[in-house]
Amino acid sequence: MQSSVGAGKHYAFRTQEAESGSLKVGISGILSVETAKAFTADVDGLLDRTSAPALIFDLNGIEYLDSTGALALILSRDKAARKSIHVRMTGMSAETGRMIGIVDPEADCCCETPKRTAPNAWMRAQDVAARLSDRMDLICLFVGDLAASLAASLVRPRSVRWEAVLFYMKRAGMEGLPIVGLISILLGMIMAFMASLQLRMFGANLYVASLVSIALVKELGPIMTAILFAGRSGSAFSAEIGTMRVNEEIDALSTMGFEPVNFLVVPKVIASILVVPILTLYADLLGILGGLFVGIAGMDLTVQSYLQQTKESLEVFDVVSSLFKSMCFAALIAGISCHHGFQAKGGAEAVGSATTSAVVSSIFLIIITDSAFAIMLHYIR
Amino acid sequence: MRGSGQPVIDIQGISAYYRDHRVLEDVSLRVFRGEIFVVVGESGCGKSTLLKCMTGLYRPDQGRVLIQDTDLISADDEALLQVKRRFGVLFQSGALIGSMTLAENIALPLTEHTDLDPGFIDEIVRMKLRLVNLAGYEDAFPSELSGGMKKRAGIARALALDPQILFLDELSAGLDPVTSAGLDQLVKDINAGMGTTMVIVSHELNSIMTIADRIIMLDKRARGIIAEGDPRKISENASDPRVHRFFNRIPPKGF
Repeated sequence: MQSSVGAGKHYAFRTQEAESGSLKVGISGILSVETAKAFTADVDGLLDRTSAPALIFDLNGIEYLDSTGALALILSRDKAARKSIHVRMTGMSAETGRMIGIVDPEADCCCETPKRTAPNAWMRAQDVAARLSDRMDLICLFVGDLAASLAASLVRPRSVRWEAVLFYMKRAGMEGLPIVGLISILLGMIMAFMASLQLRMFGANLYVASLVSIALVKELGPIMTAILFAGRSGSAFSAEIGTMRVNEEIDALSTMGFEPVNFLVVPKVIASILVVPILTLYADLLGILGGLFVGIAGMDLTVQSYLQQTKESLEVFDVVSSLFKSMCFAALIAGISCHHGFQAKGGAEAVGSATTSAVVSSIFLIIITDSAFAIMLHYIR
Repeated sequence: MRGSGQPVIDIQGISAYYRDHRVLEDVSLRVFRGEIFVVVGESGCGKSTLLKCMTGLYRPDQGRVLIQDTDLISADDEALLQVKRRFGVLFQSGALIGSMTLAENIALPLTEHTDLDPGFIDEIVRMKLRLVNLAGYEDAFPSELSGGMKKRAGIARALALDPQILFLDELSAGLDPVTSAGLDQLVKDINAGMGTTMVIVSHELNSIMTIADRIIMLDKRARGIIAEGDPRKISENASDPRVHRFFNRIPPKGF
């Protein structure tokens, strides 16, 4: 019996009868990570077939043995022992002996191994509950911290890093104009088009203007802008802070005497509160513009009549309340995104999951807050 | 067998530039089978660049890098992959993949590059962890380990495919003397037991004196090698002031 694997990584396995019924196995060539599989298969085959009470591994012909090969030798020795076949190794060179020596698990002392017990369902439930309450604690702490810092910056506006505020206003606001604009125009056009299909049947084409403007200013403008802001900037905030946390930059800031919330979060929150209402207003205007295009091109409305109708259907209160609402969205998105960034622990993956949860919780909070506003505004009026 | 035979790494006249800043100029060196070869020098002298040239992460602008007779610069992708399987690299920070347990980290190259059975791979993983004295930490995540343990786990991963050459970047940087001495011992044991050729970048004088068979010293201004040989001899009879300063920890004038 002989097997060889490829040219350049030759390995051979020969068996012959030896004295007193034992079988002599000549192993030669290269026994390494490349040939270990073939060797294991050969030994398994031999152990299945043989009836010999003892095997002698002759390692004289081994040219190269690496630790994987040595492990394969030892494992086949143990496997044979389980079938009560005794294995003896002969013809070891000094190098082979050394290699087997450092690989053999029985050769070194068994240092104590930390054992992990698998948690049962009750323990796991407790664990989840504890983690949940921890998370609530952290959120409360963060909200308190942030509120205190914001209040402090109202009292002492000089303590705010205004250049950072401007930087984030540019990042989150100005650079977001194209995408927010594009989506709002398209949204306005789609709404006007879909509405016109229905309203045309009643000859109420003019009311397309009212529908588009009310829907956009009261609901869709703020919500669309907020969701885009969460995806564009909330994720960036949380990834930035998360990476700083992982790289111990936040610890460095604290030891240098900076309050991390003050230093990192306050500028972002202020910039967001300033910039999101402007973005919302811009989205409203472009949405109405989109509706206007469709109105003129598809429904024979004049620019003047469309704008007149828009003006009549909106009130100042609607615009102001929607801008206030978008301010709340901005504070929530920036705050929760930064909060998730601070929770990142570990490595690259933690930053990724912090960013994901930042965007998910932002969108969730947007919807919740929007429903709250819908009810409140209904009763206020 | 130490320091004899044909070289496993043969670098012939390489030069490396970053933009218009020359880091290495016409550097040649040889590393022989089974030796522990240490690259020393002050920060910014091109140690890491040299290591990157040897591991194929950076292509030098001139010269040849031969690893066991394969030229890293002219080799095609297939040949490059073959060479890369023959060496292991320990990165400065360990560079373990944070989302995987230690066992998964070490098994990664094995499952990717070999067709061994999963059961046998588990045995190999346990054996490698035992080699670096981390038995029992199979299910631990890298973030749960101390600095020294991360280094040792990194060595275990570098050893996964039984490389003939091991590159170790900043082996003992940022570790306490005891841990660092333990790592030195580990490197010596692996070298003695498995005959692995070691190329180490290091700053730690104590560690260099204990483990190195041969060192080269690079210099920023010379952009190349200013000393080569047995570290004990070099430190005793250093005539070059730069070498003398390094081994006696004397800052340069005007520092």
